[in-house]
Amino acid sequence: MSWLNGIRAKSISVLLFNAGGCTGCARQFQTALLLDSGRGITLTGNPRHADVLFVAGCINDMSADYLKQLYKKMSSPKAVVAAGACACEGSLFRREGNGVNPLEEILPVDACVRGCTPGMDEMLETVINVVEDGYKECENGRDHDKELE
Amino acid sequence: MLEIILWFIGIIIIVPIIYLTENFILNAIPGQKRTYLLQPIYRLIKHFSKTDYYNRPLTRWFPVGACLFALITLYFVAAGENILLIISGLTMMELFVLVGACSTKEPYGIMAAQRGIARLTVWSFTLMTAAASLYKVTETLQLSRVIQYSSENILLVRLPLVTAGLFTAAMIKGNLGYFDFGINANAMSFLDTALYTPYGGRSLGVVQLTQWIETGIWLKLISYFLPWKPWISFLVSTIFYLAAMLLSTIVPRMSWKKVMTNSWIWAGGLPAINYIWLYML
Repeated sequence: MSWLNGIRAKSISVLLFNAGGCTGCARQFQTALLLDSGRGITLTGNPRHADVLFVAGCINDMSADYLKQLYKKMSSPKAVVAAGACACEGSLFRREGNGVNPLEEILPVDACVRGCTPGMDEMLETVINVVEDGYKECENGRDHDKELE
Repeated sequence: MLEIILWFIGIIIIVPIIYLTENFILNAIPGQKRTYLLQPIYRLIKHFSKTDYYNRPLTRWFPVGACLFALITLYFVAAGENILLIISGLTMMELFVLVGACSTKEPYGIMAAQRGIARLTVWSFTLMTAAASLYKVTETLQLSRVIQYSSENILLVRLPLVTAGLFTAAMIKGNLGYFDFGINANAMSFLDTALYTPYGGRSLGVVQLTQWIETGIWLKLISYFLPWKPWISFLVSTIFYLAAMLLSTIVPRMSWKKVMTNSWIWAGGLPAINYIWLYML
């Protein structure tokens, strides 16, 4: 239902998860929320209230477990956005054998914002578009929670 | 009967109108983060379009029970029933939300319930002292008779601190300013409140709707103490509440223990002093 997605896109609660690294992407996103184009997007510290899980930084084995727990606690429909080179593809840390994984290997990712660090507008646009265009899990009818288990 | 229905509808819609007005004013102030005017409505629709997540299936029914009690209490308020019935209804509503939070069997749910109980002790004391003071002055607990008394005598002159205490209790329920029992002591959690932490999806929508109705009930209760016609008094209490919400955006948050002390001083202490004063007279 496009009208419902339009309404959802005007009130988005984002759970920001910084997995580690330089924290540049997370700070960039927090600053971007002050822009006028970020109207309607709010940060929440509670996965139960979140619509979008926004992940930034290098994901190791320990943070991967936390990410799965957070994702399971979010109410459906929900979306996952990977931001920055580290979360999208592991960046240069992946070759060091530190257990760094791209987010796509852990959770069903709806969108990636590439760059180190990505632009503010790109991050905001991605979060809004992910909700406005309909959640991926709604489109293909898959139950990502069961797939994770 | 028509008057009761009109009050019923008026009390339900007044709180969304307060939120819309607040957004309108904040959007007009330079330097504030702009938001959509209808965002509270959008948020409610969004919550109702989501699924519930619970580790216990019974948990989702507690918010429904709370909402039912809020509606029953709303009828009591609109019909000018006995204030003791209203206190019972509000307490039952709160208990349903708290038991629902406890039933999630999660640390954050139990912590939220503990904060809720701490809050309940304050505002229930305020309401009981207000009822006792009201009886001392008017010799009735029936709110419809209180209106008659209020039209002939100015109730606010004899119960000024009770009125202030009730308004503080309304601020406690709305998590405003120095009376915010929020779990994070910042703006990170929804409605800045500990009580809603364990709820998500549709249940959160029901809890939010309940909170709107409850705020309307408190505003109507406060309006009984004001000296004007009922609807003018209700409008005045609404404007005061809106002013408190706007002030709350520039007031720093503090730890919940400090909030607890503040709440007992203002919401517990003021009505108690007023009651002792009446007793001495």
